[in-house]
Parts: sequence; C-alpha cells; structure tokens
Amino acid sequence: MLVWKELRAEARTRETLTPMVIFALVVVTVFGFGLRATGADLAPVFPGLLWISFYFVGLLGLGRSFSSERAQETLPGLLLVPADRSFIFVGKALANLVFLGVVELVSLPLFFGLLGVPFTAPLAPFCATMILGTVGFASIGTLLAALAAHTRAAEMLLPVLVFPVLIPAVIGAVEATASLLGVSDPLGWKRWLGLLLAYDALFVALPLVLFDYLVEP
Amino acid sequence: MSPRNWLPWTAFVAVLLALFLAFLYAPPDANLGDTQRIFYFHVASAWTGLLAFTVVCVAGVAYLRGGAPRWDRLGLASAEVGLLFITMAVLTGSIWARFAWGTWWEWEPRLTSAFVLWLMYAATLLVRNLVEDPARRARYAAVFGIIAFADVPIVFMSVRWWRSVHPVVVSAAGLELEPPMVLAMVVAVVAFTLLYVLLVGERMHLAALEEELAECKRALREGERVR
Amino acid sequence: MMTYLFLGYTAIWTLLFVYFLYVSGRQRALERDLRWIREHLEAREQPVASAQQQEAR
Repeated sequence: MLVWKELRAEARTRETLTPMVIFALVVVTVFGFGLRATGADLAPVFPGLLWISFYFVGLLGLGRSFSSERAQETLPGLLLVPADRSFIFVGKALANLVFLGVVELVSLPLFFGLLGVPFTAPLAPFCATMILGTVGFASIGTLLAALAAHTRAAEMLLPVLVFPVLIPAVIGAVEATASLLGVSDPLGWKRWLGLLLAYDALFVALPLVLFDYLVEP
Repeated sequence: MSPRNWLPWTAFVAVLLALFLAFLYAPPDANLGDTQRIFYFHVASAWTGLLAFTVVCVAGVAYLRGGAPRWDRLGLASAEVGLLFITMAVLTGSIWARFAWGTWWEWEPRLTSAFVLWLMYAATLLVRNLVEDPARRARYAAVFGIIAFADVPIVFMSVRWWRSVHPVVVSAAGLELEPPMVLAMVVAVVAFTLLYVLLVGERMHLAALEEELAECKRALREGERVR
Repeated sequence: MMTYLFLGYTAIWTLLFVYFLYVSGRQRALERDLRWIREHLEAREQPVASAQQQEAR
C-alpha cells in the first residue's frame, strides 16, 4: 500500500528518479574525461568506480526520501495511518531500492560502453551482486536518512553516517564484481556474495526493529 | 566509600604499575628492540576503545527500552571517551607501522577496522551535536550507536578477507610474547580500563551538570515570563 | 629508532591529559554557573527580595 503510494507519487512528479538517472550519466562522463584511461587500463579500478558511483547516486535519492515529507509535513499524517510504523520504513526502503535499481539498469550499459570495459561476467551471479549490493544500501540508507532528516545540516550528515556503516557492502560488492569481470580470482565471488548476503540480512532486520524508535512522537 | 574517592587513586597506581612493567620489567623484543614497548599501551587503548563502544551499544538498548536519561548520559560519555582511546590506538598503530614496516599507514585489518570504528563514532558524536531536542537526540544517538556496533564484526571480517585478496607488501612480523610481556600487557589493559571508568564517570557527571544547568535556565526564563 | 617509542607515548599521554583538563575545566565552570543561578532563583523566591527588586525598578 505505502510502497504503491510512494512509487506512484514518484511516477507523477519524477522529482527524484530523473535527477538520479541524469546524475549517473554525468558521473560516467566525468569519469571518461577525468581518468585518462579506458578499456584494459581501466579494468582493475572499474568495479570500484561503478559501485562508488551507484552509492553516491543512491545517496541523492536517500536524501530526498524524507525531505519531501518534511517540507509537506506529511509524516505526522503517515504516522496516523493505523498500520505498524515499520510499514512506512518498508515503503520508503523499497522505493529507494526501485529507484537505484532503475538507475543501475539504465547506466550499467553506459558504464561498460563509454568506459570501454568489456562485459565478460556470467549474467546470473552478476545480477545477484547488483541486487545484493543495492538491497543492503537501500535498507540501512533509508533508516539513516530518516535519522538525518531531523537534524541540522541533514544533507551533510547523511553521507558521514552512511559510508562508514556501508564499508563492508562496498568491499563485498566491489570484490564480487571484480571477480566476476575477471579482474581478480574468478572463483572468489562466491565468498563475497556470502558477505553481502550476511550484511543485507543484518541491515534489513535491524532497521525494521529500530525505525519505530526514530519516528516516535 | 564512594568510587569517586578511591577510583582516581587506584587508576593512578595502576597506570604507574603498568608503566613500570612496560618499561623496566618486560624485556626488549628480540627483533624489534625497545620500540616494541609501544605495543603495551597500543593494545590497551584498542581494547578500551572496543569496550567503550560495547558500552555505547548496551546503553543505547537500555535507553530505548526504558528511557532513563542516565543511560543516555552513559552512551554519550562512553562514545566520547571511546573515541579518545580509539584515536590513541590508531595513532600508535600508525607509528608502529612506520617503525615496523616503514610506512605510516599499512592496511592491516585490525588497524583499518579501528579506523572505520573511529569514523563511525565520530559520526555518533556529530549526531548528538546536530539534534536540538534532548529526547530526540538521545533516541537518535542510541539508534546509531546500536547500528554502528552491529557493523563492527562484519567490518572486521570483511576487511580481513579484503586484505587477503590484496597482496601484502610487507609481512607483519609476528610478535613472540614472553610471559613478562604478557603480564605487562594485561596490567596495561587493566590500567586503561580503570582510566576509562574514571573518565566516563567524570564525563557523565559533566553531562548531568549540563542538564541541570539547562533546567535551571529554563526555570529562570519561565520565572521572567510569569512576572 | 627510539623516536617512535617517544612519539607513541607522547601521543597517548597528551591526548589523555588534554581530555582530562577539558572535562575538569568544564565541570568547574558549570558548577560555578549552577551555584550562581541557584542563588539567583532562591533570592527571587523570597517575597521581600522580589518586592525590593520591584521598588528598585
């Protein structure tokens, strides 16, 4: 229900998704100019570039997910919805997941194409890496966005809160991608996917418990 | 007798004893010589930092369950003092890296994890600084403290695995700890733990004073308004 | 080589000492403020004192 509300509102206004997609394109372009390397020279650092870009773009979406509520004062209204409060969290987190997923779908071909890195990864584990790398981020990121939204300097605080907590996900996602693209040990990805899975399990469960305490009146 | 009377002296004596053991009792390391003596207080501060962050998490859970301001004060004090000890651990670790491996920073798993911990707890204190309302500040800090603590084991594990993929340039010279060295280390850990308890107690007292002052100021202002 | 040992210990004890000074300094300042405010509040609660204040105005 709330997920639908969130996604439909977004489809109407497009005020988060469009800037996110365009920002992703801008990032690829800037990398193209700034790195002075393409193709094989770039391959060792390519997984890192990919994930850091996605996480930064995702951060843009996170920052918005509670700021529009704050501006329109709809959070008190939402809290009156006679549902468990964690539904609000689930709605927001899923919306963030979908947004970042769309951004990834659109910009992945561009990352590979424009930076000249050949896509050699087996498709199924690659998709799994993308999904697992995004789920944990969307979940913990949404919780921290809710936390940052009611502080002074919310925009500044959010990245400072998110990135240290995100470090295991960054390591897992980057290493799995590197392994799948043949940059490092081609069999190593299983272990990294395991790490991502553990991270996701922890940081999907924990926000569900903790979100109630954040929005308590 | 209240702990405020005897704790400072106990901590003082323990620190003196630890210094004595570290410098005069423990023998110099066979490979690394006298400089190895950084090790005792490096380990002690890392241990105390970790302990402090465990306390932050426990205090956070207790605060969210019960809501007593005392738990929030403990969380604040422990985060601040923990940040102090972790800073010391990272600094001495960096100095250790410089002398043992020749570089100021080595992406050694424990040192790197300690640094990530540092970042997370600096963020906790930032949250506290940036929220106005005291009740909300306490809740937010508790929530972030719990998240950060839950992240610690997984950070440690991932950094370890990550390190095993990236070839080690210099090998970490294994320390052979002789019994006197172990004793010196244990005493240093105990001394720093006492120091931690002492500092946290003082910091909690300070936080209580701050709250009382805010309360008095509020009363004063309301008095003005009534008149 | 002993420089590093010296550096390490300086870092540790300086940090501890500075923090201790900070906490005790703040405590003393706060205790002073509190004492002042309490005296102020008590003075106001006494009707005589407040009447005197009114006259003074």
